[in-house]
Amino acid sequence: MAALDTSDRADLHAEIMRAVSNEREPTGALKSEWRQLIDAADTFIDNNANTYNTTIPAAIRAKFTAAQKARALMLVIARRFLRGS
Amino acid sequence: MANTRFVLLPNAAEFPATAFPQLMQINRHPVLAYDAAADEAAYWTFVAPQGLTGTLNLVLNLIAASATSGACYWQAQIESVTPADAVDLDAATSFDTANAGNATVAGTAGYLFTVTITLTNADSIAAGDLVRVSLNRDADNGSDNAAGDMYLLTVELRDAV
Repeated sequence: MAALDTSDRADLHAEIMRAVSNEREPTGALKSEWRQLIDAADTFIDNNANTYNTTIPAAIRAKFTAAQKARALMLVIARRFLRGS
Repeated sequence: MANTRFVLLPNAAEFPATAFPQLMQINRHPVLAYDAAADEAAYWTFVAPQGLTGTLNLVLNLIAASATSGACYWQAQIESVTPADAVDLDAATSFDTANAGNATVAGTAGYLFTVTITLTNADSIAAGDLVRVSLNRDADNGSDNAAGDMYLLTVELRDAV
């Protein structure tokens, strides 16, 4: 799957700023810098999607859809980095 | 000393069909939450007070939801209708050219700061006119770089001098 297009990244940019506002998390990062963060996250995913996929044991890999694998990754990231934040 | 002519509050705001700030309570303060990613507008209606003369300013009382750096940009438009003006109020709007103002946010999120907008274009406002103010954050302005929502607490219409 290719990296997200400009429109999707713009949507995520708006969404993450809304989330930060809702939580009233102080931030010194500027609006454009939050966009750079989104771009970097998407680029990382794009560059490492195959690595993640090959980390899944070969015997079970084909049993999961790409969406299910993505959901598992999302849940683990949320638990590791967002719990208690 | 400049006189305060009117104070406009979030609970009295009127909203267009789309793209408007959310009315909410922050620590029991009614605010309008203006998004960082897209322009959103709210309106207020009042009758221009008697004795109104000279240039007017809009003074916005704001807090940042999260931002501790950067600037926010704002636009205000005035629609001022005198009885017998050729304005069909049930079919059209007649706002004057936008006036702009901006400010750097406070260094701590939640601390009060102000933006002053000089109403150079005030649609020839005169005492007794039916007036609408349209206020939007100019979120798509490249210089509006403060991240996150801006919470508007009050809008003061004040003499410029």
